[in-house]
Amino acid sequence: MFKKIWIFPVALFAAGILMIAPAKSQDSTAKTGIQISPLSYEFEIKSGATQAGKFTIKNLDGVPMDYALETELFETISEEGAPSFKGVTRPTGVSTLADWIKFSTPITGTLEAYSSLEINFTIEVPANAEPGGHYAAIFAKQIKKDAEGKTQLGVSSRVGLILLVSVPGQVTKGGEITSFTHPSFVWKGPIDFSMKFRNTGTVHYESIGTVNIDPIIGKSRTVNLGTHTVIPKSTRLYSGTWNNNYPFGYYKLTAEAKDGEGKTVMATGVLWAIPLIIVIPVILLALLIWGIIIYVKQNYQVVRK
Amino acid sequence: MIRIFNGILVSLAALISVYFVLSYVSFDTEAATHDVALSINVQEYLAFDITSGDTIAFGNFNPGTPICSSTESVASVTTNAANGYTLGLSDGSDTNSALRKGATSVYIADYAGTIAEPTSWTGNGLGVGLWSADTNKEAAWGTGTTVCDANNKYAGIPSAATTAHTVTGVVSGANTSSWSWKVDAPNTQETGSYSGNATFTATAVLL
Repeated sequence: MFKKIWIFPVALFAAGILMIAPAKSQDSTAKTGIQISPLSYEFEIKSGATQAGKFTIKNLDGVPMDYALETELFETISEEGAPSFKGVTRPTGVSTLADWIKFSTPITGTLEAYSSLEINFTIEVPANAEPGGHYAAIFAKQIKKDAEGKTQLGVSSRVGLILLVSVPGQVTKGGEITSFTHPSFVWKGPIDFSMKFRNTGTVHYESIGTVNIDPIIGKSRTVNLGTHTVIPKSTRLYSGTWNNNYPFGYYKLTAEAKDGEGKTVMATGVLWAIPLIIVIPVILLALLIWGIIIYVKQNYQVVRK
Repeated sequence: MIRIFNGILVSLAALISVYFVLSYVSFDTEAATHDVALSINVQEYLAFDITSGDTIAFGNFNPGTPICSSTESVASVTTNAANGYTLGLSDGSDTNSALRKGATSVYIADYAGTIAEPTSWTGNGLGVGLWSADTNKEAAWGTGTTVCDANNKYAGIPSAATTAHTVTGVVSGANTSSWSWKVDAPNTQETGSYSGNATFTATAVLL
């Protein structure tokens, strides 16, 4: 009876400990550094018009953080979708998107510990802006002071918000498939496809890539290669997998993507699939039948009555 | 007979009472309602930090004997970006590294390898190399498995942010990459202390 009295309070104490412990571990894995949200904007802004936007930066550290806002242009992106920035230096004599961006707050400041700051900006497109795509990023950079007198390197953090701006007017939205990669012969699946699509126009657009698989006999299939935003002068890589473990026979392959004007561009190929799991048993069976025939012919004779 | 009749009457009365009670309950549940439309737009965010190695002290070195810092820079990214993130490197200078002697115009040069084609260490300059990554360590950075592995490859840091590491797809939790720093200078390099800053830039990968 004495033992039974003590079981309940001990269990309650243990439960309390278990409830506290996970909360403590969550505190110890809290994020640090600088945070930005959202991560991209896509605007269509007429010449002479203004577009407003906003983003939030947050100091995730427990100490104040000096920051600076920067804007940089980019003109190309990698096949995976990573922008190549051109630095803070502006081309002379040319008005660019980086020049059109105005902030409502000073471009330098201090974020107190664990605090957020909402920053408003406007994009003022000049009346003589060139129609087409204009691309830049707004960065929030953590400022580190140079430690003079010491041989050391400081490493700073910077986070970015990507801007995709199109100025309507005389623009082109062409595209082309620059390569379509597929196997020509397989013993078995699944089968990987990839395609590279290049924007030959003057403004960005989204394009969906697919591969149509047409057998001689049977139902056609379509493999989705994904959707990508393609900016002018850039090539994006699309990839997908046909999850058929035992394809068989001849297939006509057609890779397709739509350009910004809705026109379909295509590239074709051929695939032969002869799965070993079918071929080997068929060959063995044929050999067996052939062997039986030979044996019967050699050891038996037809006697006519 | 009378008892039976009374019993039937009482039962009927009870049934009628229950019916009225249930009817009252039904009215109560048919009270006026009004839907409230709720909506929320969850935005993408990206949190970035150099969780260790935000200061690389090379100490004293003799020109001609390269120093690899045993301190690595660990870049940590947490994001809900649907297509992943990319890390770029920059130092604001085309051919010179970030390491400048005081307020002079004397610099340690950039290492000759580039981010597009990092090379095994040879020659002079300040170089950076990706020696470890939670996801997708690019083959261009070599096969090293430690911070100063001889199989690491290095690149000079360009002026503008140039993509050095990309993680595509959804990222779960904090995703880290570890960077090695190495420096050497020719015998003609002026003596003294050199310092400066290099910048890691994190952005989302485009759809």
